[in-house]
Amino acid sequence: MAPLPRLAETLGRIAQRLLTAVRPGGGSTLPGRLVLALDPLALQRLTRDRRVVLVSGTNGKTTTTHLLAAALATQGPVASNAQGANLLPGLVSALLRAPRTATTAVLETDERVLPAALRTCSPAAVVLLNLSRDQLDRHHEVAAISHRWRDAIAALPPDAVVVADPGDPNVAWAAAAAPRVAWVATGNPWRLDSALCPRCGSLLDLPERRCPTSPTVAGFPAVAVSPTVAVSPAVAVAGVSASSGEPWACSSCGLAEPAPDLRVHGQRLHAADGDVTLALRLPGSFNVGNAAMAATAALALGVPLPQTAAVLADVEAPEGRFREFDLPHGRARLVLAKNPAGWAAALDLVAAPTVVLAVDATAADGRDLSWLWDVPFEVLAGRRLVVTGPRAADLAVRLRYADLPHLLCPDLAAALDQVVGQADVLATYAPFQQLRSQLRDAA
Amino acid sequence: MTAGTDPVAIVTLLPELLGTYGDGGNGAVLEQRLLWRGFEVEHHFVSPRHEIPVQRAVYLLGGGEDAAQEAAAKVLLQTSALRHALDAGAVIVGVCAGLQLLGHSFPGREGPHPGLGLLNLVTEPGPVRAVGEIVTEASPAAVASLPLLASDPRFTGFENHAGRTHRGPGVAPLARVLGDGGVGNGDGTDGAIGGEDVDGRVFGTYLHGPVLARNPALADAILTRLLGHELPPLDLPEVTSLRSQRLAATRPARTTTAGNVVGRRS
Repeated sequence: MAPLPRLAETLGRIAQRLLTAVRPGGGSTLPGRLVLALDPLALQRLTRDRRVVLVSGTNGKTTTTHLLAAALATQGPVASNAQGANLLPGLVSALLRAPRTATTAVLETDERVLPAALRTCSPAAVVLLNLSRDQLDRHHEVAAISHRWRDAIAALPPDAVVVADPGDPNVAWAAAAAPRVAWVATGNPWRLDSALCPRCGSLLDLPERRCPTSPTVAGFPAVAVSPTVAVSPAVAVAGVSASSGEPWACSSCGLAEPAPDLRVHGQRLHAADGDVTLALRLPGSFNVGNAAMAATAALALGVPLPQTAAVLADVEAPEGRFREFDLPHGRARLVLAKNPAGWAAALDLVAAPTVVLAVDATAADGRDLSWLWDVPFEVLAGRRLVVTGPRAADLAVRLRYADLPHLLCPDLAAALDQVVGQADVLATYAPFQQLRSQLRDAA
Repeated sequence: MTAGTDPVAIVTLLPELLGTYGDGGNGAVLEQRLLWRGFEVEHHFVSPRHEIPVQRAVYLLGGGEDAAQEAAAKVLLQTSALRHALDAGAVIVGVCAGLQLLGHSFPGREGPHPGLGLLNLVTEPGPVRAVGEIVTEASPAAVASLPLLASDPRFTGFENHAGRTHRGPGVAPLARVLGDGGVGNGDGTDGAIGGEDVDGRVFGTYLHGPVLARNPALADAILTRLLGHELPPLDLPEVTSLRSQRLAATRPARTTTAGNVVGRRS
């Protein structure tokens, strides 16, 4: 290796050791930044002699990366950015941190960064989970991301495999350009970002639903906003097609949902040569979907499905997701939810009589909270609601207009103090991280 | 019309295409503000392949991605429902892509794309994307058409768009931008409100939030304009709190040179 890259790598490793010594979990990004500043080709160098899998999508990246790394660890040490630092410095840091014996790397990759990572890492496999509205203030339009993905995927080496969900038109469009694709139908119900054909821009044929409520609950079990709302028969809102299972298609250009190679049904993953049960320690059907995608990627890399299923049965959720904590007067389960599709899935999981909703609008959360109006909070009627976080006021207005009584308590610690008994705590990214540290310190 | 007689109609147009930025909330706000006052509400959500009802209603067009905006324009250009609705006393409100659609043309994927021509304005691509909190103040024309704004003429919202909107003669801005951070139309103003030709009942803005959740006076001004009479006030402490928080949070910007954000606003 030329002297400067070698020096860069050495400095990076030193930085990492120092940062990790100062704080456990430190060094997830800065060492990578340092190395890339000195050696812009660092990612290429660090992946050249490794088998790389990239995992991307709007929701589920951290969990799927974690599950896949566990499955591949049966073959040998695996490098991974399990803490979720998913921009290029985070990928580099993860590779620096890994032992040289880790010849496999599973890297969670931010949706906007994926095209650059694809071109640099020559991955053996790529997992494309889903695409939906998220952090729109970062110019994160779904269609634009899909097209950039497709261009980069079209340039993958001939033995690369893309694992993708055919039910999401924007993902399917990007994945279809790959040399090899494994289609895994997870039954992801979110459809609000799939109105148009990604190829020709015409309206897609989607099963129509009568939805007697506002679009904020489109696609969910109908929740009456008010008994006096009447809706003309002409109204329909394209929404969820989960249980209908009807494939999408474009009658203008003929683009249609690809037939799946594997299909999730309940907790079973159906494949051509047999089914496996994905019994997980993580709740929610969306996590079965994540596990199915991970298992398929592992299969492409030589791990049989039953072996993966056995490994995944013992894997805990990463990075605080679904962790249970004791509170001053009760017990909480912590759930991360970052955008409408993620919140819809999280609300589906809620079981506790008290729900704490923590909201902020930092850069990491997305600075515009208008998306709160695309979340079906109405399904929480009847539960005790506590609204907290620096931007609790925005959510309080949303809940007020939903006629949902709630306690407004912007300070996180004070909000948790209000909880008596069992609570589900649903939080956007920044308050989620704060709650993790607060709850960890208290434990 | 008084509460409890005929239902009041709200029409949310093409939510699958023009609902990406949370603007569906505007319809929810109007609906609820009517229900709380004892009105019956008919809230129509019109999908692309369905007929747009023509009636005296509030018609809402929200923001959407580029391809979705074009698809929405193609759908809406096939019908004269909105013009007929205006004749029937409707109020039409466009946000972001919706505002642009109400004009004569907006940037399409292959050059300018025709809009509905209900407002005399055109939109062209801007040099940088405008993203951030913005505070504006209602224009005299807006206050004249929507008198409820007089007592609290400021608007707070979040803008996120790449277009610059140029108003033709006879079209007043909806508001002027306060402070240094906001872009709006690109000329110190935001949005537009139609003149006599549309009886001041067509207007638009770049503000998300959703704009009617952040600005209750504007929500009631729209309803008052539609119904032709005053409404009893609503006291919603959460709404009042949010409004003051957001107005206080938007500080004068310093200009950034990096990235694609004009100014800096939280």
